[in-house]
Amino acid sequence: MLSNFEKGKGREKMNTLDYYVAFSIALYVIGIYCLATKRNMIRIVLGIEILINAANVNFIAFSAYRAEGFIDPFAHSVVIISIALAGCVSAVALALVVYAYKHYGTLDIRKLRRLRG
Amino acid sequence: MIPYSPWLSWIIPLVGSFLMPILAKLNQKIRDWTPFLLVTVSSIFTFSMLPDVYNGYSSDITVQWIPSFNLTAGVLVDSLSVFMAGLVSFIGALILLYSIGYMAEEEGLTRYYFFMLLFIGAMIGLVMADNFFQLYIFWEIVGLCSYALIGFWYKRPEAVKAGMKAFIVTRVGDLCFLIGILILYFNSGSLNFLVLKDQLTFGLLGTSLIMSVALLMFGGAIGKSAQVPLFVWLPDAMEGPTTVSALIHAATMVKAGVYLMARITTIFSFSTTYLLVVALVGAVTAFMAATMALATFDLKRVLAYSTISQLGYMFIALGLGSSEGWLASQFHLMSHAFFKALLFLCAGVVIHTLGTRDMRKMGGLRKHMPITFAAFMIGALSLSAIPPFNGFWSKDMILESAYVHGGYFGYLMFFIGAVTAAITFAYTIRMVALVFLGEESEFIKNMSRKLHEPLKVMIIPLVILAFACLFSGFLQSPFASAFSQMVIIRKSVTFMKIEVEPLTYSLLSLLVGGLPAYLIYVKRTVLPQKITEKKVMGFIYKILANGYYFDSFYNFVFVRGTALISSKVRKLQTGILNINMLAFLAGILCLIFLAFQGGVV
Repeated sequence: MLSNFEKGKGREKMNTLDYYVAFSIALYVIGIYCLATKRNMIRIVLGIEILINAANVNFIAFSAYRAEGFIDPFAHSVVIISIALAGCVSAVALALVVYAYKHYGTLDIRKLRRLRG
Repeated sequence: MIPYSPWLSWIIPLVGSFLMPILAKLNQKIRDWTPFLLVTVSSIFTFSMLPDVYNGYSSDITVQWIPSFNLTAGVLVDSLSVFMAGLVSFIGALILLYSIGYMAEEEGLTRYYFFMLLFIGAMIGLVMADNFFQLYIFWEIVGLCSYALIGFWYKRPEAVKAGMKAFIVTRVGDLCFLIGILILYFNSGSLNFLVLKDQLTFGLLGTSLIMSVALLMFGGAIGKSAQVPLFVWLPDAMEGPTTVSALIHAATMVKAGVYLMARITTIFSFSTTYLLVVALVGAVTAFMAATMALATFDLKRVLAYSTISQLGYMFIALGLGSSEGWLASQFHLMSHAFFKALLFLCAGVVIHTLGTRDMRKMGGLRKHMPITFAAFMIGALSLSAIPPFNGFWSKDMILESAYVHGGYFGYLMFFIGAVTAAITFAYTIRMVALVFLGEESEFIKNMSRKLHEPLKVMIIPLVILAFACLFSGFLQSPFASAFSQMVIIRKSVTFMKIEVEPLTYSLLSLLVGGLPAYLIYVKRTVLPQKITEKKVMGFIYKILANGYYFDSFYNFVFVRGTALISSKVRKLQTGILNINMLAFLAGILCLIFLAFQGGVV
């Protein structure tokens, strides 16, 4: 995939982009792992945050390598908005967590499976 | 006509409903009284249109809605729509006035008033709509409101179940209705009533098309108006507050189906097969529901079955296909709205004071609540068609038009109508005797509170409705002339003149039904238990008490069937996040693999 994207570019730059992308994939895998194995709701919220950050890092990294000597400001602005939105998401999610804990007395998602008012 | 009244009559309650959460913050009293005032204002607007339509005014006011689909929003002002809107807003206002006293001690009143206002507003919007699409939208809002209000006491599992049942069962009909609308739209390109009527006059639409559309729309009406086989939701809907039942039965929900049928009969002209279907469904419903009411001990359920039965009458009248029948169905709709609202509100008083709906626990309430008893008696006599109350005039009009229609069909309908009238009288006597007459039951004697008449806000609507029941029956000739723009009365029928033969038969049938019920329940010469002990009667009783096993059948086939299938499919939808994420990861890996594969090849 990457070789297609950076066709004709210098070998040197490719390497640095690889690091960033590898880091982002690592973050992504950590996030998925978190969602796939954890049962505590707070941990799941953290997992979602990690996933969003993985995407953000990926965005920034690619923006710097779009053209020679040019960093795309558009990607940065999008990422800033994305960070703000992630903050909102986590705020709402944590509020839900608090209420769920008050209502059920547990944070184990397997025990919260009954959708009752 | 006050300017813009066709619009304002339904926009005011609709907008008002969304103001309820704000008003509730201000003051409890404002919250309780505003809905009543809003609906009163809306009824002033609708009543202001009455003189115009009486003098033959009718117009279709449209605005552009979705131009690319050739859809316009609009209001149709004619006798039928204004009559229905006036009825709904009048009865809605009275019920909201009654609610102030009846619901005073309940929780969640903001929700209650929100849905009540939305309900009334949507119903007025439904009858004022000038095209099927707009009508369908309001039709669905009405369905939603009925669901929310039947399940108003959401902490009681039966109420929640009843609400869901009402929603799901009527959905079957709604789907038919929607399919009918879509077929009509794709074939004619318009949904406006008047445009469709013009297209039909010029013969642009085929008869088979109209036939199928009309049958599908009748399916919608069956669901909404609780006819056989989709009537099962209405008795269960009694789990809601009594005011809601009164509104559903007298003004809003179930009348929507009758209105729809009345409306499409003025647009389409029908073949006899279709009319036969409508009349037969109505006749079967009228008879079955009346018999079921005989074997029920829940006061509100008896009233619910009687509503179903009376709606059956209206469908019989519509199915006759004659102008007299059409007029009779609308006249009976009005009478029914008055006496059923009255009966429900009186039953509400009884249930409110006693705290139970079981008629076996009641009895001898006449001494404690004379006003309620008098009002209930007026309602009951109207229901059982005793002259000179309004039920007599309208039911007689239906029976008479069936008799005049003649032929096997007409006489069959007349016969079923007369038999049903007999049963109606029987269960009415049973109901009155069990609740108000006789000795006080142990339950009442042991009550710690003293029984008394209700609050004034609850008495006033009762008195108004009782007077309406007394006098609305005499409005036949102005009623007929107001509708002269909708239907052409073929012969000059003067409705106050009564044909002797059908009247004799129907009065005779009252005697046949009334006498045994009087002997059993008022005089108590034979105990009801003695009758059900006999083998045949006991068997019949068991069938009736179980509602002809419709409920059990639906439960077995649809509810249990769906549950069975769902439990098999459940393995795909575990609802556990961890497992879903693992599946997601597997999917991603597959995608990556495919992508690289594509790169190599």
